[in-house]
Amino acid sequence: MNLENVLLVSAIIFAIGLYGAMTRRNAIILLMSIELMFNAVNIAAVGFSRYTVPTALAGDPVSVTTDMVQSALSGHIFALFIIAAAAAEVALGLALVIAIYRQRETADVSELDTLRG
Amino acid sequence: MNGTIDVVFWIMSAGAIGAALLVVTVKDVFRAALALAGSFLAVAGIFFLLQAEFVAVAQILVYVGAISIIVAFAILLTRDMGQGNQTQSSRFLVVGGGVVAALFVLVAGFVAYDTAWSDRDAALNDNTMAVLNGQYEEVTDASGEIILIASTDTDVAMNGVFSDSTGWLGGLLVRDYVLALQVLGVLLLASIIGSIALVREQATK
Repeated sequence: MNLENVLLVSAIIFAIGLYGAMTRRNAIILLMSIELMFNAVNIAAVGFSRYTVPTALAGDPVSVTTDMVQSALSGHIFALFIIAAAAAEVALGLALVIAIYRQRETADVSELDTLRG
Repeated sequence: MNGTIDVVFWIMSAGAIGAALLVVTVKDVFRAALALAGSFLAVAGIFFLLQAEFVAVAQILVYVGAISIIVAFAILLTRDMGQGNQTQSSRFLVVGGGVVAALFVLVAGFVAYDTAWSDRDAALNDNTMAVLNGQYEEVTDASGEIILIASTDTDVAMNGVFSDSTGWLGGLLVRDYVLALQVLGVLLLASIIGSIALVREQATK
């Protein structure tokens, strides 16, 4: 287990999400694929946080302050904010799907072409 | 010990990738949602292995606990479209999507393995490493600033970033990232109000 392997797993999950977002036509599965991509990004962020260090800490720093120690956790912070933003996004997305389903009796994104010229 | 972690990591990764594949291939939407929850759980396991306990627990609470449930609700509210009228994706899209995904993995994998990432254990000196592992004491230097130095007493166990990150994350969230945290709260509120406005029954009907 090292950074390379973590990034590889992250890339594979991202690619699966990308494939799902491109090929599936069900709006809910589309949203799930996007969630998969969010997850992949989180894995990469936490992986970087675990295996690399900020330049301020590398080598022989003059003195180690609290701020410098905290900067080693930026990846975790990114992951937490992404998780929260993804929760907001999926709540709104599913509300949209339900609203569209009530009007059009479909959740198939290829049938939602009202705006097509 | 390292070998065990490797084995667990590959099991978790295989679980996450396999469940993710199920999500994008399985026909039944509800089974896809279940596979998605499984994938989230496996990713939480990977977070634990990466020493990100707080992120892992947040992942379980938010993704496995909340997002999976509202996805299931949305599927139940739009139930009949899952069967019957599901149109097949065009062959062009399936092949194109597969090629794009494979190319992405190739490029990202090449970058990941070809780049010389700085190695954490090599980059840190002994003093910094001890501080990050929680074996430090706080002293005030000549200019009045609090600095952390490695403690000579081996029994000292403070909250190290690597050994117990939760306390440090709490400090970060209420100090450095407090504005982002507040904005995120507003975003969540806006999305909740938006969802309610979208799905509530119209009173005029």
